[in-house]
Amino acid sequence: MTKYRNQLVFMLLLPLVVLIASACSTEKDKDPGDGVRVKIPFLQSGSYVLKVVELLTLTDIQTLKGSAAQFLMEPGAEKSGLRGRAPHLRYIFSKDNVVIAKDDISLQLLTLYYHLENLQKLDQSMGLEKAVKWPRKVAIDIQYRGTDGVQNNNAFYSGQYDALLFAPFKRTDLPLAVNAGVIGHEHFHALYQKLLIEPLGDKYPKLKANSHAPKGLFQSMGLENEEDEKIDIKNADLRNEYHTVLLRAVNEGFADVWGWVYSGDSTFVGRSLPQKRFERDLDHQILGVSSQAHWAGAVEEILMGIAVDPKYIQASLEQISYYMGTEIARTVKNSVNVIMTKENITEADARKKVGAQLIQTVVALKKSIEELKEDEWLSSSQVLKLYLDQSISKSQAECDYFQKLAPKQDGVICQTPEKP
Amino acid sequence: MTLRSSIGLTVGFLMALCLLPVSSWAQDSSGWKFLLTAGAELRSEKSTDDYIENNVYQNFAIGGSRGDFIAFVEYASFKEDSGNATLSVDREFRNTLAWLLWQGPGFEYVVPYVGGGIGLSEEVITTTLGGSESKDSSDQLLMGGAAAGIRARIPAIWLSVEVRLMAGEQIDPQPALGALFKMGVFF
Repeated sequence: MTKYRNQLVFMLLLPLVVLIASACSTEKDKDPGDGVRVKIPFLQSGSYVLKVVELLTLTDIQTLKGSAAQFLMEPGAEKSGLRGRAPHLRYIFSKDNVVIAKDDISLQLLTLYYHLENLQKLDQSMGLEKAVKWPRKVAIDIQYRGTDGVQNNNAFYSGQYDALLFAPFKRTDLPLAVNAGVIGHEHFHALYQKLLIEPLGDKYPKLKANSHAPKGLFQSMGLENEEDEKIDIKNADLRNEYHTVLLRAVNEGFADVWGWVYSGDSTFVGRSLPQKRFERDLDHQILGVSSQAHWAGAVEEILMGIAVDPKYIQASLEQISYYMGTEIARTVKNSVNVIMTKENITEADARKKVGAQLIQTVVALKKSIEELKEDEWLSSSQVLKLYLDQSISKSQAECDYFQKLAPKQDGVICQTPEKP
Repeated sequence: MTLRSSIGLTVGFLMALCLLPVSSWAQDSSGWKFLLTAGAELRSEKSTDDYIENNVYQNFAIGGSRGDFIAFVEYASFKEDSGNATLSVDREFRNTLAWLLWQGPGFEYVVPYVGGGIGLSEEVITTTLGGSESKDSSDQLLMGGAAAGIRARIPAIWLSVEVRLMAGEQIDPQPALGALFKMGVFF
């Protein structure tokens, strides 16, 4: 009897073992309080290194909730908006109380949060605190099928859902979701959407529909009534198509510059997508900006290509936007060398100046588009003129730099400042 | 909870566990048998997208049995890696637990058993970025578990399957459901 009594007591004690261990496993620091230190990839002196940084706006580490970002895992599109599961961050606290991600996705989420927190501060410093809604929606590991099968290795901004979207990254290079420049680039699309595309209304409807996100994306994410972007070739209006391409080019070009303004990395696209290095990196020297007639001719040629499968026309027009955008981006970025030399300022200060000018240019461009007469065509040189007009300390050298690159047929973009 | 207090609690609790069955050991006429096992432990864990996934841990144990009781020290570990050639995260979880099992009278071919264990766990994360490694480890944290299983009634051979509930600061979900398949020898 004594034997069985002891065994009974022993069996009753078993659950206690689990209970004691559970009780001791306190919710350690899940409420971040004043801030939480995390170790993430960080761009330092031109290279990415692991660095401890502080997240200041997190309210829940486990689900990464905070005022900077709202993450959606396995996102699906519904008529009312994007839906997805909140992440479950996998992490440990190191011996010096730093949050260390246990897997690559958790590390990407922490890094994204950090950059969105900083981009929120950058917006605030430029008076843009109310331009976009915070926390930003970020969909991770989106699965979609494009014309070439399942699409990976890309990041998008969806104007329709006002969200950043990251497809799985299957390459061996720096993942897009930890690339500071890429995150800055995608965030700029949101600013452009709110400052220019949405205020323009239906003037350029193709800009508004799913700006930047690929065709078919939302269909594959479960949205049935995807907005149709097909081009009616017979009735295509060359002037309208051209301006759509131009405004997309400014969106892409300025977003590349914004990526550099935020990160200080002029080769951020090539870090994750080396095959795009030649097309997109900003440090390449530019010999001149192509004229309005050149780009209008290219758009016309695409629209005239009746023999070509119509579904490729949209892709070709988008490709032209990137070429045109890179021209604009490299022209703006390389002007910084002139500014730094003439004004004797650091690159960090020059980037701030460029950032402020970009935003003012977007606002001015919206006004120019609204006031454009039926027979007028805007050129990329005129966009650069608008950019230069925002400079409060425009120097002779800066003026000369832009004028030298602009095509003569598009007119003078910068009057030489009068000497006192 | 600090490492020192965790160790103190563990030792204290183990002593209490050891004292409990002394009377039954004393009544048993058979002597000590040493036990050595290796096994595969399935342990549920939460993924980043908030699903439950099962990971397979390596499990090794050394101990002894006397009468209806089996006591052993168990070491379990699990390694996983994620990421790509530029940015990767390698994770290693390991725990050392002291277990005490009680086996019932049993049947012709199988013997049921229940038991509990307590000990410490540690997690080591190695993050590699562009070839540079950074290694971080957690504190040694308290962990416990309860198990119920059956073993085959084969002389000198341990062959068992059991279900487990594990809990601890580094266990997620809390408690985590698991299963252990192990084999070994008595000598």
